[in-house]
Amino acid sequence: MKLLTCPVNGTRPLSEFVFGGECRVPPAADCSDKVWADYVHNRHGAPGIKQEWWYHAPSGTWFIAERNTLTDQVIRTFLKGQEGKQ
Amino acid sequence: MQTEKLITPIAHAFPVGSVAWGVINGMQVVTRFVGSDEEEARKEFLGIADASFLGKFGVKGRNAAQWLQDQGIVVPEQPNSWAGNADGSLVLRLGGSEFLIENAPGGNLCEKLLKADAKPAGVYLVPHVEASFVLSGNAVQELFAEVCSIDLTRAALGVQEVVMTQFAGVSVVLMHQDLEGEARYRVWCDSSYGPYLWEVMAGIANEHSGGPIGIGNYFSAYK
Repeated sequence: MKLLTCPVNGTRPLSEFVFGGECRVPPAADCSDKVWADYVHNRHGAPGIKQEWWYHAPSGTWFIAERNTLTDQVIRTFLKGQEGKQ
Repeated sequence: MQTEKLITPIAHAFPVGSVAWGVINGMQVVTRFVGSDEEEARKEFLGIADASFLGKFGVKGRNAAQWLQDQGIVVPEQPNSWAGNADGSLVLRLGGSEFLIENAPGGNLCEKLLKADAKPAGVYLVPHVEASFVLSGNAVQELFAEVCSIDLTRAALGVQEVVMTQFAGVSVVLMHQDLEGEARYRVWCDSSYGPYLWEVMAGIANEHSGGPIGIGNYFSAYK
């Protein structure tokens, strides 16, 4: 059974979680059309350490997991804005 | 406002004809599934009862905790924990600033809170109509092991802990409580999943010589 640790509710089976996509920072509002189109349409698919949104369904908790998408190792999980507290 | 038109959200899971229906707190519920002696025996092994009729009240927001305290409510200090008021009502802290309150059997705290003065800024009402269960018995841990992936033994649960997890694929809120001299578990789930979860848990209870029982077996106010 795969496990994931919710920063609020603790370690739970992966079946309790929903993947929310890569955590991406949008460009500035006054960016060029080219930069905005790149943000909207393009994804960086190379494996590596990435930050992803995950959702703990029973409690309704959104959080960020830092995961190595090559080895599927989760390095840490934290609530948005509490990265430095981990 | 509740009327007698309300029916328990678990109604579709109940057998037709062979059970006794009644009205509690304005909601039609099954008050007896089998004879009282057999219900007592079921409770010993693994009893499950429908407590969906207990009034519920939800509130959230940055000032929700302070507002509840101003109303004289005991507020749990930690997220995912619960506290009991003097009248027997339950206060569950579902997150940093979200609370679920459930009436004590025969109580009306939630109705009072609904009628309380206008809520200040940062206090938002959250409607709650969950299906609600009471579970107990010698084999209750066997049931949990069949429907849930995490350890729900009393040793694993903190004294006042609220657990949000999944039972048979359904999101539930769970807590443990010693009441009227016995250990009980309380489970809440979305009302639309109530019949499914009831059928799953009652089926497992039957396999352990237990089964559905009337709520009067748990709350003396409804005997």
